[in-house]
Amino acid sequence: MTKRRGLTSVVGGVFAIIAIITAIGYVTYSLNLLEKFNQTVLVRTEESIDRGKEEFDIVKANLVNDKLNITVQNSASLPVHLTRLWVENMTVSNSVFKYDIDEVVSSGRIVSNIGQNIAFNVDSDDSYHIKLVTERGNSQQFTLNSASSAPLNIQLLAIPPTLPSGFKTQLVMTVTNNGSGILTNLVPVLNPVGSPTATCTPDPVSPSSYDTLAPGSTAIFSWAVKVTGTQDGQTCTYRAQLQNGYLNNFAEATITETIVMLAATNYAANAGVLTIDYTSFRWAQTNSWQPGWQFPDGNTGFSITLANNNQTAGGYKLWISENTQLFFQVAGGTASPTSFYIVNSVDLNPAGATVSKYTPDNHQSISNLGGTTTVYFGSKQQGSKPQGAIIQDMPDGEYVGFIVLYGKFAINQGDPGTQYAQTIPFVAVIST
Amino acid sequence: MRLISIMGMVRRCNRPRRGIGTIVTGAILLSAVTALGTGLVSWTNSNLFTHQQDLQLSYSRTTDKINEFLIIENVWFGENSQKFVNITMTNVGNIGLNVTKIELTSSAGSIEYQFTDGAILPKKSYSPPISYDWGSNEVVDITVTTSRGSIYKTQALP
Repeated sequence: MTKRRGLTSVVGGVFAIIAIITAIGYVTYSLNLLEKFNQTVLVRTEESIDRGKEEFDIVKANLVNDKLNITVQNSASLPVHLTRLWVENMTVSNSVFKYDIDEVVSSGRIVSNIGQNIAFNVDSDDSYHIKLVTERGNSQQFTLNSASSAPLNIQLLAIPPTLPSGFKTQLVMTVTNNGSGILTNLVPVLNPVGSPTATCTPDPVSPSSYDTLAPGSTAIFSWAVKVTGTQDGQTCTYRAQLQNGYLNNFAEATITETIVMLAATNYAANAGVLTIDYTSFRWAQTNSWQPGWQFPDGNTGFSITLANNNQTAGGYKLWISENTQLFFQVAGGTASPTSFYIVNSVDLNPAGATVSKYTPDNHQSISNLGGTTTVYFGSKQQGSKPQGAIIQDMPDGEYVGFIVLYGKFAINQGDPGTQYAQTIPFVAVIST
Repeated sequence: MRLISIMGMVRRCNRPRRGIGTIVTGAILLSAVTALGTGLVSWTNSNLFTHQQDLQLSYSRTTDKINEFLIIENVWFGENSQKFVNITMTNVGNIGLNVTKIELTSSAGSIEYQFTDGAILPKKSYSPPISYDWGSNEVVDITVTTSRGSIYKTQALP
């Protein structure tokens, strides 16, 4: 009996083993399949990641011998295999061409002359939409000669817009790519508009062209333009656009020329509030006023006529302070700087000129709106000081002189007024 | 002698007979175990084989679908006697695929195009002729469906 029960157990055991082996086989198979599936997913994921990593840029695109010459830079860490080039002529309808290419760009490298070997000639008058496709399915596209395909944001500025005759202004043209594709081969064109009244001469444009312009980027071109005119307000207007550009897509700027006139009405703006009449300069050492810039050394008095170009009306005057002086700085030789303070008068005398001190302070005035007054210089100190009535000695030497003028703008001498000070370049003199 | 003979017969009749029953029972049990075991193993094998096949099929389908990779390489709109759209699709995956349907959707509505010749080998392209009344500056959604059920979408502007 024992032996027979063992046989059943053996049979049962065999079946159990078969069942276990079958189950293990199935599980193993399933796991293997799952492993393969995982591998497939991993590989596919890897491919997708590689596809996402792929990155290349159109660095340059121009025409060489009427053929495309595209330069591509691989800015990713994987090689890029360019397999397809699409060319769509935007000017001619239904004109789309597909070319198989075989260009591999290593990571970080640049490859040029793409498009030189395909059977496609570019008409420079037409606009093209170009697309490069990689083996992984990524693409980059740009437009060629595409300034004509859509209006661009073009501006033209004259900096400065108004300038004196004989000077140069800068005409600056900005072109912003407000489209979604790369613009290529941008060449600016500058033409005068209408009949200019001033003579304007533009220098060559800088830079002469932009090979590419990415979306959102701005190209800047500039011309230096020399303006010459004979009358104030003469102008010349320029129009800037792009070669083969979109119709009526341009910008204009007007340059206005001004004549610098040292007249009473504009002197304050052009040369300062106070000016001198250089021809009125005189010096005196004895009993006569002398013109010229050379005189013997010794006690000397000076006179010169000042003009007040302040255009504020209402009876305002410039009341001159006793601190006003004619200051000589040494230009050569061994002389010392010397100040000649303002005086009431230089009294001529054959034995030697003398001076009357400037008192009271602020008593001499020059009317606004172009008023003139002759002022005298010659004391060693201000009128209120001890040497305010002593004539100054001009040592031997070569000098350059300035009028250092202090005062106040007021209607009446006693009014507080508005303080004003100015230096006025004067003359050079030689005292021997 | 006769007595001895009778005594012998009695002795033989009194010998235990349970061995036969056990043998029969054992045989029946063995047969039953064998039959049940065989049936169970067969059923299990069959069942597992079916599952294995299902699994293999499912795996193949899923793997193929995963490996399927189509790109809509270029879309351009033209007009000859009538307006059309040219859609170039390239198989950048490592297995062949079959484009069965392209759906174009714009603000004017949606149109489906069925294809029976849309098989694309790896690294090859397919550009079926599609008559389509596109409108200028009207965005068109393009949906490509393959026989495996993969869907690829893009947008284009005439």
